[in-house]
Amino acid sequence: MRHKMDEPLVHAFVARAEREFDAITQEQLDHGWQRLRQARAAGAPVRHVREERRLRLLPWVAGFTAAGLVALLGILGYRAFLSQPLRYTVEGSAAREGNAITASPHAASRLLFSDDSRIVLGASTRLTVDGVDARGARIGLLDGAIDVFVRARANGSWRFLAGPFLVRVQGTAFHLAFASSRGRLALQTSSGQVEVFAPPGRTVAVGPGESLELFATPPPSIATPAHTAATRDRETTTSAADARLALGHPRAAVESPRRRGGSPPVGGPPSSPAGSAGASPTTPPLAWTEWLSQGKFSRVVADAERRGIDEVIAQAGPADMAALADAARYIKRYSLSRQVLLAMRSRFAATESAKDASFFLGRLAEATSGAESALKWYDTYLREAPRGLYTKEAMGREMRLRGASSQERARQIARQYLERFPQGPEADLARSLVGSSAE
Amino acid sequence: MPTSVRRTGPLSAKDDAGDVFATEFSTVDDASLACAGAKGEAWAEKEIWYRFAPMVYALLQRALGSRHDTEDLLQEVFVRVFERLRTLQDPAALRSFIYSIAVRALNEGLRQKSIRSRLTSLFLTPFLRSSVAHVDFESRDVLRRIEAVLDKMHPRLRTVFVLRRFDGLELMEIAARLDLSLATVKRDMEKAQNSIVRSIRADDRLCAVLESDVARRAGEVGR
Repeated sequence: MRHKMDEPLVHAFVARAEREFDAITQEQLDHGWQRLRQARAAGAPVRHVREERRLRLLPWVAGFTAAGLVALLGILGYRAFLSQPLRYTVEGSAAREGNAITASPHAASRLLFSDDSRIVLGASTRLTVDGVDARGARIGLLDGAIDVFVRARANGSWRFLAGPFLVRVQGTAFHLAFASSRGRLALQTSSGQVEVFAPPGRTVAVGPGESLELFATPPPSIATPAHTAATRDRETTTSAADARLALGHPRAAVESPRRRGGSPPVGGPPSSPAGSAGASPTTPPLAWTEWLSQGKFSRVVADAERRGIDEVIAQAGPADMAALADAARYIKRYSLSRQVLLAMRSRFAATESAKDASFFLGRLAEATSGAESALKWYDTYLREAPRGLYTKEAMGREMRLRGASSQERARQIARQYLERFPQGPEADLARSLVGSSAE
Repeated sequence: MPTSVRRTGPLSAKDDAGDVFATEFSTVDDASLACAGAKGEAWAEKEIWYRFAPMVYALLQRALGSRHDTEDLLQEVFVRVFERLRTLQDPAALRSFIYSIAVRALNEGLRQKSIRSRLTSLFLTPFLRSSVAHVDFESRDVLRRIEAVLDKMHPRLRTVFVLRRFDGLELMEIAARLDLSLATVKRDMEKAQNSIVRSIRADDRLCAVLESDVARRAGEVGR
């Protein structure tokens, strides 16, 4: 309700408006009469006598309306396009069975997605495509190595499940390897950022140029019945849920502990929580792999020494020996680590463990003996396991080491690297080496 | 009913033979003018325009604000006047006849303006703002603010307010001209004045100018 006190204000408003509004001028009157006369002479209907100014505005309004409609249709179309599930095809000689894909042992295969994302499967790699939607795909990496290039999108969501680990990606390029028998996950990102979830509830973000290595306790299925009975309690608490994380830059990579699968035990009294005894294949394995995954490196070495290094080297299985070699390397007992790795090559010749041991001997040599010795071991590894788990890493390290001394050999490896891993973490280095030869 | 400024001076007209001659028509009364206009005589139509256009312009300008809108609607009003002049029962009521047509056209014009201003604010405001800014200079500032206050009102309220406060029509007469009930006109008038007071209070500058006017007027009355 208006207050009576407002009346003077309203009155002042009206008086001021009377003063401010202009009276029509003679010029306006004359111009108006001319307009009116012409309009009437032309017989224009009432609406048409309005000045063309209206018509001049019309194209603007129509233009903006049309532009708005086009933009709206564009947005709706784009949203409809985005809501379409991705499609994919498999390129190469991979075997398909349902949603499972196994790459040929002799050649790489590729999964090409409709949004230009792609996954290159290394030789013999096994994976499953667990689901595809508009935002991305869910891939299960069962075993092997993949090079992933995910096209960056605002709402992109890709998931890679490898053992107990989950790698979540929005848009990035990275290399992912998972060895199911060892529970080892290796990740190297080339660009973008990925998130890795490791049970129980640990999350690691890995940025461009960074690498990550994770180890999980192997699944209980690999244990023997006797082992299962003896260690049931321990495994329910530690099984796949226990993973140890280590993050480092590839240039100065901090090698983290590796988890090895169940192995034949060595003799001597067990010092593991569940207790392992005897050298019989039916006795439970040592707890070294578990300790390793818990970061108890010194305890592994101390236990081995308590049992007797010579005895361990002579009798332990490949997984335990690998765990011991790793533990020794992490606490800088390089000679012990080397001794164990050499023993592995000797005792388990021609097995994957022996081949892997040559790669780690190379890593060890880099830290102790120098580049020349390391290169010999990397060459050995690449010769023995040209499509092994560590092939990409071995080639990358060899390129770096040879870069300074043997340019020709470095370029040769660089070409091979680019051919096999064009999106690999060392692709830039490889290109620069190949490029320098072209100049 | 407000009186308009009478145009003076000689006008050209034709005799029966079609020859043009000069004469003074400002003395011709409204009834004669209406009769001649109804017959389609050019001199009468011209005189009607010059005699009543200022009145209609003032009404339209107060209600519409924009000079372009006012001039367009002014044209429209007189096209209607000349079309309907033959239907005028009482030629002496020419002024009232034109005023009625103007009020009706104003009502329609305000409705269209309201729609158009919404469209304009949707599509063109960002582009027009810069071009308007340079004409919004100091001397016209108060007028722009007054127009802004009137623009905020619903078209019907604005028409009622203009007819009542500017043209001094009685509420009953406004009701008759706009085909509304007296109660509706009273209610509209109350709403219109409330809206104006709210808008003035929201505009510090305009409020200060008007309060200064009120104080000056009170001082003059006191003396």
